Amino acid sequence: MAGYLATNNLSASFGGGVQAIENITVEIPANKVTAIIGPSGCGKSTFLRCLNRMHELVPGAKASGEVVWDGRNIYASGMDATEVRRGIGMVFQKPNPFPLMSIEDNVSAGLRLASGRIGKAKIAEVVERSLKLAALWDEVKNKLHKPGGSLSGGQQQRLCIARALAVQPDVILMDEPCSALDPASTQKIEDTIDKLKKNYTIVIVTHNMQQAARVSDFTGFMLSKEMGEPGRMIEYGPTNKIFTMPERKETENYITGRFG
Amino acid sequence: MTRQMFHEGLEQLNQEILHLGSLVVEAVDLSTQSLFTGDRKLANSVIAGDEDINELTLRIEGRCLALQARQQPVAKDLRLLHVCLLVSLHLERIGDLAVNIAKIAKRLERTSAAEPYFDLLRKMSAQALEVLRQGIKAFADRDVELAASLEDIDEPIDEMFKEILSRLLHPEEKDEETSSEWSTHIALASRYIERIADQVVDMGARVSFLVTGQLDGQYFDRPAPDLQRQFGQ
Ligand SMILES: Nc1ncnc2c1ncn2[C@@H]1O[C@H](COP(=O)(O)OP(=O)(O)OP(=O)(O)O)[C@@H](O)[C@H]1O
Ligand SMILES: [Mg+2]
Repeated sequence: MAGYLATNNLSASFGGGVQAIENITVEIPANKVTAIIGPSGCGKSTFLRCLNRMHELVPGAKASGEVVWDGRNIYASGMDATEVRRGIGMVFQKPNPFPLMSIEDNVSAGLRLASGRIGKAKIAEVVERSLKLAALWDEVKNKLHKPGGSLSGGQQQRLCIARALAVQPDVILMDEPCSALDPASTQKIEDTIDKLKKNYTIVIVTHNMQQAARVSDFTGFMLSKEMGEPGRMIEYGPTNKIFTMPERKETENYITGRFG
Repeated sequence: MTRQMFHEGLEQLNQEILHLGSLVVEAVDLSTQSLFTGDRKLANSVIAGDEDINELTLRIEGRCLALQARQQPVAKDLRLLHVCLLVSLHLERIGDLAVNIAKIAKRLERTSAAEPYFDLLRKMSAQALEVLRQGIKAFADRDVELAASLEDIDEPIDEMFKEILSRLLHPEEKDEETSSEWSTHIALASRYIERIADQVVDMGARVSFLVTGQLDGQYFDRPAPDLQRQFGQ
């Protein structure tokens, strides 16, 4: 099934010998929302960035193990990293639209980059569909030529989601997409996530446990045993289960706020 | 409300449930005593004491609500809040049943015909009190095995209840003639005692859930029951 991801002994390091994550083996089901939670520095962002080969863009950074996407290991030789990143899109913590570029061009930027020359009509169609999917269309349909930077933070984040959707990925990775947003914008993004899972697989890293409980079907809890130790996937399972009856003491302590 | 206060709140909740439990044990104990002795003062004290039980139950309910509203509890905190609310309702219902028994104690005509029935009722009461004490202990100690054993302790109570009913319906030759009002009182008293034990057995299932997260094996994503099949259109 498109959008199914599985990792197999996935480990990652940064230059200078910093081992960030170690031996993570999980299955991320298609058309579901999977949330990754865990304390700061446990390697959530690193894990996410390994899922679409963005991790290796950091100089000196390395990943080992497998990430299987639709039956193919994205780290196998001959896999095209750009192709992987097109199929597995990313939305970041801080909305990062091109501030001076028009809303319309922001959405189609990736598409134009990926597909070379495509017709205006086709672009307009993709822009409208993506903005609708990202639940932003009604708010911007009359000002598509205004710069992306003129939107509010919440609107900018949905613009970035629309941009990720425009290239028709299977999977969307989101790294704390709501951490800079107010509750109303957060709710809009969560509604969008819920709608998107019909057609996409979503992995979201969040520091907000209630958000993980609200939006996800599966939850993974990551932890590094000590400062500087690599992060591991301590527990992974259905969200209902994790938030009522986690198997592991570490998970329970973390989600119930019994730190240290 | 800080997390620290939250955890203290949960501990206070736990203590309040145990306090409620001790009030209810006393109510059941005194109400059944009054049933056998006809001590009206004792019966009245049970009826008056129900006020405290109701007050404490409401206080527990309010605490559960506030803690849930402000802390979005999860995992064992969520289970504890959920179970405390349900256990407090079970205990409150047991308190009501003790009041019902006390009211019968005040009205029950004491005849020599009562003796064989009182014999059974005494055994039932003692057993019900035992189930109740063990049920509360299971909660206090988070003891799943004890919680599961409540059903076994309850079984003889059901048997004695059936025996009382069938004896009322088919009196033995040596039994004295009795009024239907009297029979009704005996039937109800035994029914109330039997209900007390049932409430405790249900309470035991909540204790199991508290510890294991399992209720009847499967809790989440239970299929909806086929109500049409069971009840028709
Ligand atoms: N560019 C980098 N160079 C070297 N080490 C890094 C780099 N980025 C992250 N790390 C280290 O890798 C580990 C994991 O970092 P990562 O950003 O994945 O954690 P995180 O769980 O996303 O944390 P947060 O919740 O704060 O975002 C940390 O120990 C961090 O210090
Ligand atoms: Mg991060």
